[in-house]
Amino acid sequence: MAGSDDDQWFDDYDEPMSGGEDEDAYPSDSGAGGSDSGGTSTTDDAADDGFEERGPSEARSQLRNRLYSVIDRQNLRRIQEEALQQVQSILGCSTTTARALLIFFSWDAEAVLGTIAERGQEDVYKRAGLLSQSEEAEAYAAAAAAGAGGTVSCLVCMSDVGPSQATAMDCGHMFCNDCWREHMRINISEGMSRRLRCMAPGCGVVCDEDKVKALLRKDKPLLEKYEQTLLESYVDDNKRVKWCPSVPHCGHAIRSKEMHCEVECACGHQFCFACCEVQHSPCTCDMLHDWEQRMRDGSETSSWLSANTKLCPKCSKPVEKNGGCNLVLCRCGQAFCWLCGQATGRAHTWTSIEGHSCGAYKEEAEARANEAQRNLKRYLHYLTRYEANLQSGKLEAKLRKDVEAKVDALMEVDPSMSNFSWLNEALAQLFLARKCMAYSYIFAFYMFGQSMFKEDFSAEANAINQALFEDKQGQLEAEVEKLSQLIENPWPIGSAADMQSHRMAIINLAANIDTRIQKMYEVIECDITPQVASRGVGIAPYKGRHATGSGGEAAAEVYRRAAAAGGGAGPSGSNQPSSDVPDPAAEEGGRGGRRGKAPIAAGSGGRSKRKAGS
Amino acid sequence: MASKRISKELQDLQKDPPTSCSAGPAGDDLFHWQATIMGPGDSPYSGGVFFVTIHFPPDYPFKPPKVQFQTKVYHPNINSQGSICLDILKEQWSPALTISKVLLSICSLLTDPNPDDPLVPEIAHIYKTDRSRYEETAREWTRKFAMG
Repeated sequence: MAGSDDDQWFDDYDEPMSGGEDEDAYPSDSGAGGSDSGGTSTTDDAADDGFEERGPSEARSQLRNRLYSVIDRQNLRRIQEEALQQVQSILGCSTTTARALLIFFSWDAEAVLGTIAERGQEDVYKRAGLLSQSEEAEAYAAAAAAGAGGTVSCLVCMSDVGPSQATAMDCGHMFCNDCWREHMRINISEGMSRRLRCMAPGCGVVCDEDKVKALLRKDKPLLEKYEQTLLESYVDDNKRVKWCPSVPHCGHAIRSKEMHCEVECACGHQFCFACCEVQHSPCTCDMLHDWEQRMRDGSETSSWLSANTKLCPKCSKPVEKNGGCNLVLCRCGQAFCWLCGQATGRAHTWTSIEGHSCGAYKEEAEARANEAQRNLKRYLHYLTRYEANLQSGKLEAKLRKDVEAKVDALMEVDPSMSNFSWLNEALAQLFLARKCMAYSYIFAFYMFGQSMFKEDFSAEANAINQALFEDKQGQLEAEVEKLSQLIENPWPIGSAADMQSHRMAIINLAANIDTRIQKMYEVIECDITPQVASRGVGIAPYKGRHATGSGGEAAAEVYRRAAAAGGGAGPSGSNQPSSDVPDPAAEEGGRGGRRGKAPIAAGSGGRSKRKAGS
Repeated sequence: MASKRISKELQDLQKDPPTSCSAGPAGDDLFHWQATIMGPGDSPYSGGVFFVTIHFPPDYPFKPPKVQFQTKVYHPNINSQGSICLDILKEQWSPALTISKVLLSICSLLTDPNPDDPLVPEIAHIYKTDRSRYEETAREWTRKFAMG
């Protein structure tokens, strides 16, 4: 029941937000953006594009909504209330109880109801800091009886007050209102609103929301903070919802079905849902983390030093051997033996150094130095390629300008060419590919490095994996370079026929690149990661830019694939042979059957289109 | 609020003192107390007198008091600084608890250590594996530091 209900939740939440997007060939532009960002600005352009089919974009729009959605302030309240009502309607409990249960189960209503069905209400209520309802009733009676007898003795301030100045919580424990208020003030101001417990020793029952509100009604700011924290608990205590990490904070939260998923907030901020860092597929969060650590602390510098230098025995500065025999002379004038690092005299022959004999050849030391050197070379290999691709991506703005200039020139010669959406799609595909490539080098560095996955692969298996992967990566790289060249080199602006074929070449290349990326992901997801399934390697699926604008043929192809993959399947990646390959991360990583069907990168398409077309 | 409640607790302590402990302000400061705990008869701490300092936070009783042993104690849940690992002094604190109840809880902690949540793992290990050695050392420390 969990799955289907959950789907329904998602759809329910997303419906109002996705309104109108189906009409929009750029669903990504209005984004997961919700009602505020709207899709109107691009709708007209989209209609002009001349892509008659609507199927793929509809599929994609649905797809995105199935994977993640953006929650803004208003939605947050509504979604939370729906979750509360769902639990309340089934259990017939108070809002406080429903909220306490949901907080305890990280806002997973299915888990609440399922665990109650499995372990019984009393057990679950106790664990969540609640009394079962029957006890509640008794407790009420006890509280009433205590209040009836004249004065109430508050065990906190140790004074007697009239019954009207004391409040009993659902557990029956009664204290004076002043003490309750002070207790609440301290806890709420420390951000403990959602763990506002009864004051009695060992009780731990969550304070009833209505009673809290009644007690705090005169302290508006505190009451607001209480309500705010309760509201935000839906995000803070929920594993499937995260605040957008944009700075300054845009106020939105993202709700995702998949942990490993690349998302884009309505504010335009793109991030990896699992780690909230930049999007980094196909490398995993762990890989990125380690990689950045490596780049930050410059540990490679020290490893280079250890591989290539020795410290002078006199001045302790690192000395690099620049050739010659094993007698090394430091700048400070000290001579020393390169093999053992000990100080020596200066006179030497090819076989011996004056006043020194370090004896046997230090094989181990040599091997260590070689190892360090090899590792360093390996790291530098991947680093340069990572940086080169990232750098090309960063030149995006410049390239866009170049292209705009070319477009302007072209418009002067041939005003009939007024639609440049194909160009924007190609550019977007190019930049996406650059990003994929950059992170694929980090992936390769760790996956085939025999350190992070040392235990998981034999040397042979590793070599096979690496060859498979590098083959696909190489093919992708070649296409990317070709496209890059086609766009950057001068265009055959003078001749309409040449320009037409140039345009077609660019469109085809962009579509090709998309396929190549999918092929690379196929190798990663079908051949490599299943071998390390036990490690829970979570890689966000490829979110195809896809043939949104790359001509009828490619689009039709997409449509066929989407149709073949069935209802909700998306255009990108749905051609992957997912069914017959066991997916390791189906459970925790959750790429499972949804491989490659991630949401389309939002934003840049529509925006850039307007820009270039202007 | 805090000083009113502390005064009340002081009155109650004087009116109806617990059998095995005593407590009161160390000087003029009502928020700074000194207490003594008699080693429980059925424990290796029997016969010892243990001094304890108590600091009340300004938002007492909504925040727990800070309680520390001044006398050295050999115990899995009390370290060499005299800090005590006791749930009601941390997350299980309730504003309805009193110093008298806290001191009684410390007494029962002396009788029944909690080696599964130790502050001093070495002592907890000895307590679990070689009970007689633990009792011997605890008695010796009590003689040395908590008597005379």
